[in-house]
Amino acid sequence: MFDYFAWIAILVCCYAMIAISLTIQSGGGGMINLGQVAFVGIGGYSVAIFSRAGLGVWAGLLAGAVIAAGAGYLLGRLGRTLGGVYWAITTLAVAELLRLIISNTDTVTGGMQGLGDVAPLWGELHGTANTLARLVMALAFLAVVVLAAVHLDRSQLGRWLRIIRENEPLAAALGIDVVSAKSRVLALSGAAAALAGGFHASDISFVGPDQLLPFQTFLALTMVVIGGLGRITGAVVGAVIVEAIYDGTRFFRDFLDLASDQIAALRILLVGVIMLGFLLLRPKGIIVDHPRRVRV
Amino acid sequence: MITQQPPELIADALVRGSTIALLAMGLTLVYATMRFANVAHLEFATVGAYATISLSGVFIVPVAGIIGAVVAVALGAAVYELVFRRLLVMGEMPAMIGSLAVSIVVQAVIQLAYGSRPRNVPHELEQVSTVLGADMTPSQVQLVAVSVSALVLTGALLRWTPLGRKVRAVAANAELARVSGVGERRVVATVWAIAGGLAAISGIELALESSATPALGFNLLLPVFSAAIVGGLGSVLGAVIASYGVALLEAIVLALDFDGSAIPVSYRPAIGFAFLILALIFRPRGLLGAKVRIV
Amino acid sequence: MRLFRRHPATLFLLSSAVVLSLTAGCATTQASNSAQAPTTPLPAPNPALSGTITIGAVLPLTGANATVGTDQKRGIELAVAKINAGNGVLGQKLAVAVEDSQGQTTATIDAARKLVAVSKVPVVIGEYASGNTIPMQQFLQQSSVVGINVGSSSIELRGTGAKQFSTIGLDDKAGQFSANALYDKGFRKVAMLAPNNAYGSGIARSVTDAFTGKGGQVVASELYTEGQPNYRQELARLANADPDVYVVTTYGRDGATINAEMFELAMTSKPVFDIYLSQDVPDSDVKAVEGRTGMDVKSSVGGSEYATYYRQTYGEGFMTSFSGFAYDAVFLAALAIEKAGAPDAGKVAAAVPDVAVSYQGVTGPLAVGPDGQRLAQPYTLGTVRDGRIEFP
Repeated sequence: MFDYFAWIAILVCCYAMIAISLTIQSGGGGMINLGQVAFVGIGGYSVAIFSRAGLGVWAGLLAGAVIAAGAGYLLGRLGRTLGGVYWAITTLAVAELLRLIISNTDTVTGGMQGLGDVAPLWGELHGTANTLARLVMALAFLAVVVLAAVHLDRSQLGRWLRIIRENEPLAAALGIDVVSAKSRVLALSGAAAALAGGFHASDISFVGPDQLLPFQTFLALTMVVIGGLGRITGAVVGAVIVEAIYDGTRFFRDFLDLASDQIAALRILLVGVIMLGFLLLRPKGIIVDHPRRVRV
Repeated sequence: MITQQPPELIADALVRGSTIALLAMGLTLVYATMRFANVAHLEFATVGAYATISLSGVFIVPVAGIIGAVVAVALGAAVYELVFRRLLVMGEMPAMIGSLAVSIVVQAVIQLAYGSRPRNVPHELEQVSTVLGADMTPSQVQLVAVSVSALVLTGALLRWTPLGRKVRAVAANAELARVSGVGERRVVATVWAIAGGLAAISGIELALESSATPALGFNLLLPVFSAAIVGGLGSVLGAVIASYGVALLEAIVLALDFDGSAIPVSYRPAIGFAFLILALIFRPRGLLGAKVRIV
Repeated sequence: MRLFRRHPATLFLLSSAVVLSLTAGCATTQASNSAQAPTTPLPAPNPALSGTITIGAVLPLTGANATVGTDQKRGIELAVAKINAGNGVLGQKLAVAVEDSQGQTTATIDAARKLVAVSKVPVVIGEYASGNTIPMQQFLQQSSVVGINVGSSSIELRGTGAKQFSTIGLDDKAGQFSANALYDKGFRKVAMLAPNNAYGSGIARSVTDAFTGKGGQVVASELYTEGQPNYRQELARLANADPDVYVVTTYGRDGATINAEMFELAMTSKPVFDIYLSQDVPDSDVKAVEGRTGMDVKSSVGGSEYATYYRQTYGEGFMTSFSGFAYDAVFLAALAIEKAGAPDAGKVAAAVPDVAVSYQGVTGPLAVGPDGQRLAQPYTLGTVRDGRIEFP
């Protein structure tokens, strides 16, 4: 039983990392990135490719983070001043393009079959020790991402991003290099998401194009909405809530007598309703807002 | 070397482009008048298709189609009233995220009610006939005919009727229009109904030509938004031109033959995406777009 | 909008229209489900059995492969009923806890974890897509649980572990058989169509390798993306390559769409050869598939006892070719547990190769090789007449 709950906890950690990566973009720069799953995929596939090539999972994680950060930075530069709906659709298109390419390239990425036999992070241990080690690792990764996000929040870049979110023309008028700021937060966001993706790939020993579907981003977005755009603790709370519901409904089958088709639809319905509910009723998120202390 | 004849390429482009154009036109019209990027716009098509399929058991297909479109529009009006109006007050982005949530909810409800297996209106197998040099089935011809008529009618409405003038006024400058006495509320309602109707027709025709799945509309999300953006968000003519343009581009690229090997058909959406991304890098306003982003 | 506030009646009318059409949709679903031939209930369990032994199954009950998953579940139900009507397993009833993989890998492993950790099963049957089965079996191997593959055919399954087995022959066998059949019929130029997933790309590759090995030529090979409204582009490419025969493997709604479009595009004037006929033909329009030839697994042969059992219970012929493999897997697991004397994964794994040799499955002899994979997979050729598949 511990095994199963540990597995859920590890999933929550991964999703929390992705949610945080998403929230620093939206809360920070006011950008809604509908293609975040692309960064996750970069991390996952890097780990898988490196692992199968014998270069090791850690090298893969590092490579994935670096590539994703680079991709994020590039995206920010190319996107320049795209905002709002343009940015959302463009990022979605980029993510879908990546998924298409991966799905149709049989050689390097395994095509639709994906890449299996990815080495686990603590292969030497077995049983409960293994589960415990993986759980601790996941929490450690999460802690790193949280710390990075908090550091960003308190830094000058974080302040700039908040101004950009509130009033972009004003930020430009104040002399802030908007494009550079956006690119930098995208780089950080990409790296965080890639870490989550890479860890997950190693955890389930597999990576495939199914994990790059847009719905994964929407799931993360729901977590962000629950937690409040830009709120780090909120993102973690959102991850816990959404994962609990999404996985808890697996047990619905034992109580409800619906076709499996419909149970799947029910889970997705719940996610959509929750997103909508929070948007309408608690747009600032679940955590009560504290006024920021201003150091004068 | 291109493996297909021009008439075939044009036929392909017409069929695919018509579906996208109907949707993109409505989407861009809504954006123009309400500054609302409605991701759930595609669900008009899905709802219309499923309503028609259900009703086709009771009514003949054309009647079922009309009622189906009405049902879709009615649902859209209700969702606008209950959800979107409130979100739009908060801003463009909350409204867009909200529309994404609505889209997910609608798809889930449809899957709950109808299951995920594709459904269609049972019909006899057709045979292609040669229309202007290309092989097309009667359903395809019908799709193109109905779509083009709808597009032309709507265009005429926008251009030459007083209502159309009001719509364009609101699109150009909502505040000024309001101050000048143009009934903004009524315009918004009309635009919503027209856009929903066009989208529903698109979905119904698509379902008649092939089949309907809960993701019928959502699968077209990116092509439709791409067309609307490339044409310039807010420009109806731009959206239509971009729709057919991208469809033609897809047909041409897929017909290219490089010494025996060709681009996998699975890459069809990628062509539209690449087009969108390039367009946004080099011409962010789109073909006929007006709104320029400063900074 | 404002209209509604002034005329609530309109809102009411319109919402009732919406509700009505949705319920009409539900009713149609119900209607189409129950409009079948009369069915007989499954055999009742033997009252002498007491207690339950549970094994697990992870199947794609939802998602793109829901049709196959549902059919696999049927195979399991039939096997369980038959076993429990007899002597059960070690004097107890057999139960199979079925989890939905949703066709997604993460959900597959999730489901497997739940079965292993919560239900504590010694054996897990499943899945269908190689991309899901391989990681699941790797996980099962790590958890020391026996896995039986019932639907995937990727040759990578040979290496998943000593406790992992398959009741279905891997790609190479189906491909070889089909290639031989095509060559013997005199075809030299083949155009292939298969779904772009682990199954489709595997089959396409094995048929291509086998056919070119015999001296034939594959002039076109297309992998279609599942779930599209039409496939005219892919079919046009195949037609342009001017083959002697079209080789097709599809299933579900996509199959019906493809078959209809092949007819509409007049491609059926050339011979069409189907891989796994029984999963492609049932959904399709009769005119579209008339005269088609193809191959299939022997369990789908019309008059066999299993086919009759299936038809009586569900009121229709085989939905896909895959129920038999799941059926055999349940029997294999039951016999192995019986031989092992306890539902212990290690002992069961050791017992499987022994019982597999003597058990004659509905899909043929199940003897497995040292890599846990089925050694012999019998196939047969068939033709479609009047919407029904006729096997010699």
